[in-house]
Amino acid sequence: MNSFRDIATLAVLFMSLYFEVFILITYFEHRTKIRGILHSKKADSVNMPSVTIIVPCFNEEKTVGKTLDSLFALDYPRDRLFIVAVDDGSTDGTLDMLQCFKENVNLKILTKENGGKHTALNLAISESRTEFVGCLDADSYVKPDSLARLIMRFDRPEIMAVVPSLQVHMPQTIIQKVQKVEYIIGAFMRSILAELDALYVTPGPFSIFRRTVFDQVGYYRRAHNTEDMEMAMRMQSAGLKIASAHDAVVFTSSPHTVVTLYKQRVRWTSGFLNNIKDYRYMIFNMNYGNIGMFIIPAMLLSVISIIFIATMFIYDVINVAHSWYVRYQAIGSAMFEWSQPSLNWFYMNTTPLLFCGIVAMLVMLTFIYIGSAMTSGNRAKILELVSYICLYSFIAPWWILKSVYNVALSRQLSWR
Amino acid sequence: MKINWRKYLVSLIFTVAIVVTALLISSWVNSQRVNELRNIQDSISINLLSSDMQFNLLRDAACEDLFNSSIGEELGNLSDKLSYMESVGKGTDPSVVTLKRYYSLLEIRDYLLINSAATKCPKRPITILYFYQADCPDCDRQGQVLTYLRQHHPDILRVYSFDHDIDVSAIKTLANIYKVADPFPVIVVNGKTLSGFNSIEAIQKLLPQLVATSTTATSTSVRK
Repeated sequence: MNSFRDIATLAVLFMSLYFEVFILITYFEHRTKIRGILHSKKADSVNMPSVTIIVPCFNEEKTVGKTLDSLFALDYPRDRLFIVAVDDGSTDGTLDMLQCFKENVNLKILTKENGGKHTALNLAISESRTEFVGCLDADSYVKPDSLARLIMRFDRPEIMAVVPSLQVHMPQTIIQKVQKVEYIIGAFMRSILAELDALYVTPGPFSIFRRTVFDQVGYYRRAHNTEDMEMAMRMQSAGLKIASAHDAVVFTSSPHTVVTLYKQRVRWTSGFLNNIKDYRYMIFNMNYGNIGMFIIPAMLLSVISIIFIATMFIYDVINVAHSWYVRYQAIGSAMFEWSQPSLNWFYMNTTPLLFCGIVAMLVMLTFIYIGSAMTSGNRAKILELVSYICLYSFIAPWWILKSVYNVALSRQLSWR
Repeated sequence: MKINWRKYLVSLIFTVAIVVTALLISSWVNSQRVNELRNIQDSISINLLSSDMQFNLLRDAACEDLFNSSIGEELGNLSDKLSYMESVGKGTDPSVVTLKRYYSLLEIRDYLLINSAATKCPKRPITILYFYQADCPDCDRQGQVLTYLRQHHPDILRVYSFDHDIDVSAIKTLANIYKVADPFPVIVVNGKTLSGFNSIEAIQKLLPQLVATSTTATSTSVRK
């Protein structure tokens, strides 16, 4: 332990481990309740409140039909379910697609000039008269029992919003399969963060709010194209409680190539950093509880850690390449001669960093295991797990670096 | 919003326990490594002493035994392990530094034994002295060349590598005898001192036996 690098790496690992241990302890603290949600029975439909579900659409002709189909298939009293599809100035056949559903009495179609997702949501919210309001991105699909399960979680008056469990819709490519693992971890994390009053996103796919939330904290804002995160941050800063219903499953379309995934994550991460910048007064502020004192600082630290570890990794790769070059210069093609690798214990890596890294990885696998059980047996296969670890280790640092660069230069990103 | 400070403290205790356990395990494994190095050095020391005595007792009759001994292999093994300790940042560890100095002395002793048998044993191993320094870019390349040669001629070649910066008077004396000076690396072949990098071909030119003999690879490497 004699170099700055080793000490910095150990510090990063220590903080990552601390975060993981804290999350795991929180899970065991609330295990009974979290498991209970999964086995809870459906509420009596007689007592179901009225809900408006807003579907903002901009050029979603390919997916919006299926989204609406899934909404019409919801197991929820028809007289208390109102669906509002807002065409935000689409330039493709989205409006025509919406018109195909116009016979449905539960559906209202609004059209407006393009102004961004937040404007579409706000138009529909302003016209809504129901007790609850939710939104569903036009590329996401709900399970029939999801709305009832979300509404059931509003069992106390102080719960002002409930977020669902997101799953990748029909993962086909390897990129989508690794996102499946990421979403499993996400489902686990959301249920823990909810217990800590530290949820910092109310996802676009099917988060449900009490209508009064918008009167209390205001409507959606552009918020660096991550309006779902800003709304959650605004609610947390106002002390409004957000709960999680990991038994309410929503499927969302996910990027199927590295390039589209990269673009989506740059938008998300840049939005996250910009929103944190806007809400920086919450950081290390005891008035905002766990989210201010721990979760936001931990998220920021993870950004720095990932950049640090990625930089060290690149440095190592360059070093190895250089030593191969030196070896080649010295002995030429003889370096490619096969020699038996040494299996002597003496040469095994036994640094404390390795041990801490193994523990951190095991805890992460525990999260995935618990998350799989939480998302109704949405189990990750070994190959998907390995791909997730390998692929994300390589590409995540790049979108984080790009996002930090964007935020530093105050660059605005478009939705697509 | 309520903060459960007790949970923060319990998490800290668990995390510290994990990291301390990792540090303790790592430190224990390292002490085992140093013990292993000591054992190898003791074994070399005993073998050297035994060869020395055998040589004095039997004179020329001991030539075969003298050079077929496992000393060369053990020195190589020790060299590998010391290099590894340096590569994982344990080079400045006091016990490793002591072992490194002791290793250098064992090398000199083996070298002297082989040289003293020069007149009596015509078929003795070829020796190369190799002096390196810490901040010397060409030393890496030279180390690779010598490793290659030793791997391919384990029976007839012994390479003795010395850290020129190490504070051992015997190394300084050896360096003075062969007029070792900048630029490093410096190798001594057949009593001839060569400064700077020397390729496989250059060394083979000086030692034609290395071209003629058959090749058998082993896992030992030359330090630096």
